[in-house]
Amino acid sequence: MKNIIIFLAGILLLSLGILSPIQAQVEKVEIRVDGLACPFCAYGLEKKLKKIEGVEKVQINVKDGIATLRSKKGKSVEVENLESVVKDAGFTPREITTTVVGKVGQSNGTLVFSATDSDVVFIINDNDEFQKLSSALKGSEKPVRITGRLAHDTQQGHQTHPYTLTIEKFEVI
Amino acid sequence: MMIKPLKISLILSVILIFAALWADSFAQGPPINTDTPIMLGLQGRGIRTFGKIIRKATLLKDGDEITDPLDRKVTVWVTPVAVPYNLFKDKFQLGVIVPFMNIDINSNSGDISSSGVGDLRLFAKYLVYQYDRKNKTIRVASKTGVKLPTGDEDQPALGTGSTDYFFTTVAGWIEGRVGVYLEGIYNLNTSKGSVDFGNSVSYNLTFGYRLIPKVYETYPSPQLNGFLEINGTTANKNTLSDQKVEDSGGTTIFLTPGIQYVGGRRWLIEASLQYPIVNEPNGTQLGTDWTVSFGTRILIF
Repeated sequence: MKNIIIFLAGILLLSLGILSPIQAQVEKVEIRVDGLACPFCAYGLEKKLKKIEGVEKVQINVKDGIATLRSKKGKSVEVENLESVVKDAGFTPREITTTVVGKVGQSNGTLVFSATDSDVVFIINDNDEFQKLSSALKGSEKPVRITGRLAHDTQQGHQTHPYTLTIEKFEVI
Repeated sequence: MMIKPLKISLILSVILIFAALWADSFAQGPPINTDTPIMLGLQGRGIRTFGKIIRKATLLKDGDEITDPLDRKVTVWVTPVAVPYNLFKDKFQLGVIVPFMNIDINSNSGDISSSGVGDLRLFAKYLVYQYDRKNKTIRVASKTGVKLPTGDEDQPALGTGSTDYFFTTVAGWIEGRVGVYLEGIYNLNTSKGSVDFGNSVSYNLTFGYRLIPKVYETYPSPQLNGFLEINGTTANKNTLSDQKVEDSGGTTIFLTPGIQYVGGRRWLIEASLQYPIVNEPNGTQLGTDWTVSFGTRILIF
């Protein structure tokens, strides 16, 4: 039911020409964690991050205050509840950067990402990198690896995913 | 309250050493004799236990050493086992502290001893303020609890026989290698029979410094932390049948250097020595010569 709602909401927004959704595999996530001043207390954070669906490995860099999550082979890191997991561990979540692999396709004349092994749907913010990606693909369906910043979706009435993705760099695989 | 010149020199020396370390940069790890406002996170569980040896062998009258005609030497071994558990939210913690005790009193009139479970403590702690930045956190927590009269009251007594209450506020600032903690505790003591125990205030100030490594890169890494604490207690006199007990209550302040080794994700070991810099029990009482603590903390999730 949730997937159907996500799909329908995405199609609706696409048809309005406002947003471009991505459905893709999240292979790496970096989240900045503030308050990581007590490494002995980081055990709870590590333990909770490891319980997130699709996570194979968690690395915490205390110096930079960054927790890095890597996905299991062929799986996608579930980022939906990432911030609440960090809060529950007693710390403050900040920026989230993710690396996503997916395929670009056409839907109602707009570029979309789709992956058969994941139901994650992001909405892409339109920026220069997105335009470059569109140009680079020229309508082809080659797999693409995108690294970008996740931010809370501020679109009113949009129910697809709590985050939008702003592309920082991409690689056509 | 008088602090002798020798003790002033000792305090200044230790403070200067820490000041020199401070100048280099900015503790990691929870302080040893002071509480911490940093909690374990939702459903986090831990266990802390340590051995504490308290030595009382100096008879003091109005703060000055006098000869004890009974030549008493009191040695108290306490092994508290503390189990905190975070509940409902990451900000709320419940806990229990069970002290296992052994008290030996040696004197020229004979030796007595007792051992067993002392007075059990239950507490609830709530994080009231949290300010997090990169490598930095400032937090304030409030704790309240009750001490139950579970200890045997035969001599030497393992408990007071009274149900008492405590209210604590603890603040902590940790940035990089340095941690500063401040704790105030108000103990609302009740009575047992005709004895009404005087209320007391405890105050702890801790400076912590991560000695090794200089730069903490990736978790988990072994680390060695140094601590310097000031732990004080001022207690009102007890009353017996509405009459003040002159030889009760008073003020004791300890200077407490400590060392802590965090060896892995889930355990640490630590030790501290409490040396009295102010030892002024009211009237004539045995003063505390020193207290040694050594223990471990293990995280259970």
